[in-house]
Amino acid sequence: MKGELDDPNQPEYRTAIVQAKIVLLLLVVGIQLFLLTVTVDRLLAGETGEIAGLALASAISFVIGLGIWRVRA
Amino acid sequence: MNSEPGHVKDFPFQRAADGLVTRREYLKLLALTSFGLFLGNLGVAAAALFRREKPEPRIMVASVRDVPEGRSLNFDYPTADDPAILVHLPGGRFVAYSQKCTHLACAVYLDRKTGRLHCPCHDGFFDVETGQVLAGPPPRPLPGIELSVESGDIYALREKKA
Ligand code: FES
Repeated sequence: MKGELDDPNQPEYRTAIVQAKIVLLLLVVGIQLFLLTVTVDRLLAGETGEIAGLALASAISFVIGLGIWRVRA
Repeated sequence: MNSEPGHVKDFPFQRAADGLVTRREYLKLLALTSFGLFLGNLGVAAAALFRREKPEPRIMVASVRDVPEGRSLNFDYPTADDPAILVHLPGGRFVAYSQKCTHLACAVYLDRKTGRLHCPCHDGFFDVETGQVLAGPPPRPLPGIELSVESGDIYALREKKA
């Protein structure tokens, strides 16, 4: 039906938002997984200089993920 | 006669009782995973921060005449649990590395035929002059050890920083 996704009270609209949230959160989790592997690699290599930055990037990703999760659908 | 296949009897599965995961629950799970990964990253950062510096003892490894040119000698540095390898390069220079392969920590040895350091576990090769990876799965160069030669004796001074 025309315009059905424009109405926030339509179930289709809300389903679309929840699906978008899932995709975005999956992306965030993927990025964090990558960051964690790089961090562990750096630790094992004894190159500890970048580790604080990587942990910060993971924290920012988490906050973004939290925001995505809490957005009302 | 019971027509139910054996595995159904052994592992009964109640479809109705098996809770469906809703999209919202899945979202919650993802958010929790994200939190867990953040904690993991924080843990690694904390481990890096509080990692104790390894000791850097100055120890005598060998006499120059003990290791002829083109030969190697195994020793331990900086502790007795850290195997290392000393190599007398053609031309007279000495180099030393941790003997633990950076892939899965097998011991590397000097392959005198090729003049390279070889890890036999998965065929990793390292440049004997620099410790750089030449071939195989090792992800990083071999950590080097700083040496000094004083009145015919070779001393290990410290691990080279990456
Ligand atoms: S442990 Fe050395 S190549 Fe795998």
